[in-house]
Amino acid sequence: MTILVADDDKVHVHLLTALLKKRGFSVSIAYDGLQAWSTALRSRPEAIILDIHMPAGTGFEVLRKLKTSTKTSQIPVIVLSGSVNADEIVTIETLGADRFLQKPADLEQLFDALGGLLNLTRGTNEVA
Amino acid sequence: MSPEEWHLANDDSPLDYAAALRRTEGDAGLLSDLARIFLDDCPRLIAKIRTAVSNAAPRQIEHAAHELKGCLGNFSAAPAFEAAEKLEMLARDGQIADAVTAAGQLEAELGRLHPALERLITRPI
Repeated sequence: MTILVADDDKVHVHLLTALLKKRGFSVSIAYDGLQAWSTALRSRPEAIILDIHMPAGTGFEVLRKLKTSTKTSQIPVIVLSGSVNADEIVTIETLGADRFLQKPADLEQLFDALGGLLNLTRGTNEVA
Repeated sequence: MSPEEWHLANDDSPLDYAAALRRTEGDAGLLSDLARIFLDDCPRLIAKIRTAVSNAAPRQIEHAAHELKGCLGNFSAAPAFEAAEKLEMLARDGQIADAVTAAGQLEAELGRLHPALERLITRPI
């Protein structure tokens, strides 16, 4: 199973990549919005962890494209944002995010959400 | 002195080692890698904030502070994280004069954090 991690925070990308690989996932990485969209189309990941504040096409634009394209609309998207702006959170929900988590994300919560969206065994969240 | 011992000996630590280590699920090598990546990228992030502040550009300051805050969130580095968050909020509210002061406070906190992160690289827990 491949997870696309789209975030311009290199530290966070490295952390998530290491912990996802430890759980048996393959990881694709995108550091900006354009990369995120093109990688999602190309690699068709099983799920996407998407930071909302990225250069070259914000996470909002990427999320809108993902959820309106027939090629990607079924891919679960967990949106992360460091913003506490209520309007942004409403927009994220309206655009069809499957989960929204505040940054810095509680990683246990993140992996629980990911496991739930992928119907993995709760507790381990490991790929069978 | 190990980073953990140093932390225990300093109440006003810029970094919560135990919490940072929990985020890497106890992987000290991974935490060391994260510190290296951050320190490599930190000068660019600080330069963005300095440029934005010298341009007195609230939106630029807000974005730069937000980016830095996000990176700091990975380390349970509460003082620097809170300083970045304060700068972000002041810039969002257009309070440039206060943002200049907050940027200075943020740089001071980063100055305290830097050696703590270097300890993670040179002497992993």
